[in-house]
Amino acid sequence: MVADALLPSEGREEALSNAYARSVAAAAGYTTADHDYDRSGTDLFVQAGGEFSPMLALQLKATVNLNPLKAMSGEVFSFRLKAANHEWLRRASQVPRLLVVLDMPKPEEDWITISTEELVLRRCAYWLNLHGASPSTASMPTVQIPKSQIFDVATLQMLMEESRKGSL
Amino acid sequence: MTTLLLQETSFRAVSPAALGGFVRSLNWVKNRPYRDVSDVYVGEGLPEIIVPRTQRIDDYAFIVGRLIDAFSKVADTDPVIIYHELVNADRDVIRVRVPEADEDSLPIEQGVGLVSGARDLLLAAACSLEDRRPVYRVGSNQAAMDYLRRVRLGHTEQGSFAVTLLPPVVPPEVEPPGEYEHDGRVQEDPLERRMTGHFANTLSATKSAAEETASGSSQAFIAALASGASANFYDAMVSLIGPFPELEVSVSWALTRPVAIRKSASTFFQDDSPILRAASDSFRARGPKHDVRLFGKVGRLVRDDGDEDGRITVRASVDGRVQSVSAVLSWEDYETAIITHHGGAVLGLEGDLERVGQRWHLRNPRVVDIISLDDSDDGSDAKTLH
Repeated sequence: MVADALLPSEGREEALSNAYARSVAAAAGYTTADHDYDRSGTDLFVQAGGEFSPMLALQLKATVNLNPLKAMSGEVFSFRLKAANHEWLRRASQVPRLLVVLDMPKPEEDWITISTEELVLRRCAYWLNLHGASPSTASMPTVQIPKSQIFDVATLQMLMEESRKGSL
Repeated sequence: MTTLLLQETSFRAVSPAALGGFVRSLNWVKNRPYRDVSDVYVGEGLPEIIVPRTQRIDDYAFIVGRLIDAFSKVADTDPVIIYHELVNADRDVIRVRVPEADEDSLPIEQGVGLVSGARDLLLAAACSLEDRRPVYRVGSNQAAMDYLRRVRLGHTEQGSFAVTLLPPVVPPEVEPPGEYEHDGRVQEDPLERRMTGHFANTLSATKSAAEETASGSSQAFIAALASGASANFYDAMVSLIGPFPELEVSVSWALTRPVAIRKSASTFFQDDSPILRAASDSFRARGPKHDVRLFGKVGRLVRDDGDEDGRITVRASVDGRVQSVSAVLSWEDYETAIITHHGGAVLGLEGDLERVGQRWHLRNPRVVDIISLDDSDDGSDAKTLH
């Protein structure tokens, strides 16, 4: 880490997950807005236009330790959340709430590379909807995120449409 | 445009019923449910919005804040004003306002007078809701006192001296209007709405009576009695007008139970004070004299079969003249009156004496004495039996 960095490693992971989500939203043509990180659980609001301008509230995480769950043929990731985060994600709300986890490589120098040809932010994020899930008594509940639920532009557009219909 | 900065609890003070009533007042119409906790509203020329129907959602305060922004844009109104309208949208609101106050402050005694006068005005109206009288004994009407305990004092509003009274929340209609209850009666407005309506009628009748009296009518205040006006109401109004050249009293109706005209107001002037004061004096003269003792022989006894109470008439001295005074006695006191009548004794009664038309009536009577008269001509051997 560079000597004058203000963000610790975890802070940089968090900032990069925010940058990832904002990039996907921008590519989809949606606007974003910050929220106080530790006050409500929402790290980023994403809003679309069109019929009643639907929104999504994202809780962003980043990890270098996202491992496929061997017990489910490697098709899901297991991820541990703070109990408060889990509770926030599953409780009733008008704006749909989603967990978005950025899977990052272990070497920090691989997190972002820039050349004259491209900007690469590794690797990709996955989303999970915990609305209506049962409450957990664990101090760090574990959730299972399907590998198929990649958070990309097309998925964000699909999720926004579901938000518009109220079916998310 | 002002930016609204409030704590979460302030946004949560806006009820879902208030939100629904407010959006409907701006001509939004419910379109379909959303996520089982909200509804989509649409309207011609209006943006589609999603309005929560429960406060149980986590982001209720956030949603209310966003809706206030939307309403502010649609109504082209300051969001602070929108917020104040919303937070009271499920209540009828009574405001007592001094329109011509031209200073940034008010002498404290005048401010206190406004608040206490507003309270007395509402209390006087509450006393007459079910029972019309020219004057009431303050504090004796339990139903009125119970109602007053549920009224709250609203926040003062920037830029004016206004006392805001917030009667209890008016529930929205639970059945379509005109539906019959199971026993055949038409659905009535709830007490909270009836009380505000009664207050508005009394206020309007008082204003009309003052104007008609000023133009020469001497019957106007007697007619106002039927609308619930009383000496208590007039006294409160005189106290409110006080030193102010002008005073406005308005009623705004809850949006959860809308009426055709959202707000009505009456303005009183200094010239109204002497007229109202005279009306109060006249009503007090007609009103009951409390805790009066009367002594007289029982002339008439009437009790229908099956009734416990009975009506009697006694000949007693009232204002220096022997008058017939009627009273309705409880079973025990009526039995005492029978014995007194047969024994030729004098009955002593205590109660509130009032004139009803041309006749005297003793309200809340109780027997306090029986005086037996022997055969001596001067009655000097009269003795009290109890």
